[in-house]
Amino acid sequence: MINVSIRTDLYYVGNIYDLDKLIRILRETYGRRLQGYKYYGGKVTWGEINGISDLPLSVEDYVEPGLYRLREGYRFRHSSVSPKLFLLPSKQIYIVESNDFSQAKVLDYNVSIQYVLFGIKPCDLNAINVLDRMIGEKNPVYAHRRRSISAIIVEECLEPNNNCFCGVMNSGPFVEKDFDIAYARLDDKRVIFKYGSSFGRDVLSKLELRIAGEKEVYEYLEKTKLARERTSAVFKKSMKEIQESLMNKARDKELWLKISENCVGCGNCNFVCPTCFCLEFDYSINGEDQGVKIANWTGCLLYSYGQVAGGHFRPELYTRYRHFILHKFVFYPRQIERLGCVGCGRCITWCPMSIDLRECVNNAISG
Amino acid sequence: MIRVAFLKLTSCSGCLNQSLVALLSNEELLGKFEFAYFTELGLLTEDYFDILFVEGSVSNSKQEKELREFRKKSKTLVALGTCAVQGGIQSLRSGEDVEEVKKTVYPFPDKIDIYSDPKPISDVVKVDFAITGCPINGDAVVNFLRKYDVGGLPLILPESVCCECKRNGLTCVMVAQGTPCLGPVTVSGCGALCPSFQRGCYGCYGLRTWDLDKTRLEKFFDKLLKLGAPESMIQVIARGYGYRSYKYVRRG
Repeated sequence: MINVSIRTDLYYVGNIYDLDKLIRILRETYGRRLQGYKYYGGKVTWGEINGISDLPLSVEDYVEPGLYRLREGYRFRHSSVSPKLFLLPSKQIYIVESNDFSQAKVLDYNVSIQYVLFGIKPCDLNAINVLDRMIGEKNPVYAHRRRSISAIIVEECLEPNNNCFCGVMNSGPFVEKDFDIAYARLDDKRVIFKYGSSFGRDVLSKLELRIAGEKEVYEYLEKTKLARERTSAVFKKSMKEIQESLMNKARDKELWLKISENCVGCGNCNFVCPTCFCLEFDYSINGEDQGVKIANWTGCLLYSYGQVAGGHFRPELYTRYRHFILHKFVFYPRQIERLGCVGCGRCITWCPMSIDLRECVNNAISG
Repeated sequence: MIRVAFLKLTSCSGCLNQSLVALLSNEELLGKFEFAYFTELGLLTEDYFDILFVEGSVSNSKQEKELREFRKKSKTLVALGTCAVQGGIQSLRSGEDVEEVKKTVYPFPDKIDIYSDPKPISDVVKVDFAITGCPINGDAVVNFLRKYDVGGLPLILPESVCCECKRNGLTCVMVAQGTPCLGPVTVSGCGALCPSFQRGCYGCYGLRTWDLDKTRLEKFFDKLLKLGAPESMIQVIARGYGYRSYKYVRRG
């Protein structure tokens, strides 16, 4: 049962050592620097990729709500970091000024280095798209860092993990646009490549890969289809109905109190979310009689978030949790015409209280 | 010159040492402030102070009297460390009969002047500013003095320890290793010290109480017990470091 209409010439097949070749070509021939998920010291963090040994190729994440374990395997999906760590760092120094305000220096984040995001996931790519629309040029740090990214190489997920729901948010587990090269691991050795831009095609042609056979393409498409199905059956209603229902129930205090009953307001979900972008300014004085203006990550689940001069606009925890859900599902579409959630499931994995966002949304729309 | 005093009540001197180390490593501060009263340095001038730092909790009537007198002499009072702010480790004895203990240990128990429940200093005098921690982060004192010097006060943004963990790029010890950690319900300020050494937070900065109610806290403690946390860990947060705040936590 092979579909004859499949275009096999778009796909190439290689093995994991071709990834090493790819890294070397990008670094040496094109002079780019690579940023991506880095396996270091038994953990997967974010950092510079210098070779195949930096890639999380022989680990796999096992997740449940509130549980994360790395084990041996070849299907790495997520860790708590995301490309946000590179694009919108957790601490950004803006201005350094002298104590008598006579001298001030605005820090220049303009970088001449060309970066490549290597091995990010389809949901991460969509999260960057959300951030582009939401922040774009408004934040100088983000704008400069975003401009320094010259190419994006995506690793598609053929086996999403338990907490993934990218299918229903239409942001995975495969990519169709906005990427240069995408690859997916058919098994622990074979890797299937495709290109999404002329730059990607040029780079792939240098790898000297063989064009994929029909069987391999069929296997790839079949696995993607399964993965999409697996991550799609999450919500009881369609997205439009969910949005309407959430808005209708926004004022139901009892319901939201019930939904947020396990939340302790620690803000972990905000910090691991690849599309959460809130910053908070802090002014400090350092030893050389200088004042420094720093922007730190903050989150809408934290008490200090609603604190303003003269009072507090969301003192109760349930209102802040409600805002988290409503913002992602209802307000983002109004602001940037796309959903704010990309379905990566990080907020579910890294919640110390094992709160499942999918359950909460389901309870909100049915309760 | 701004006159500064450090008063020590029932405590381990850890906060004083932290302040001292931080001050000595920022020499430019020493020129702007005059240290009038600091028993550890042998400075004992008691006339008036611009800033009075108080370390430790109030454990007997003598300390209470001393604290009241010092308060009268000072313009700004800063509670230094968890003992002063919430009662600290010695609050573990709260609610127990101290008379019995005195009788078993001392031949003349009447001569021992001690309260059964240690008091945070806010029970005795008006506190203008609080720096929590056990021990405190020395930078907080330095930051306070610098801002005081230019005519302001530090802005306190109370958050959970998780925020500092995530900003520093640490992997969550609770989710990724199953280590019981009190970070989610504890006040930040330490820079996520314990989690950066793969240890769980033990809540020395005290409970976040302004938006947590008892039901949520009980649920969090249940989660810790499920992860294998000993009952004593809960006791420490609920009765020791967080005794004061736990007592006044809003009922859910």
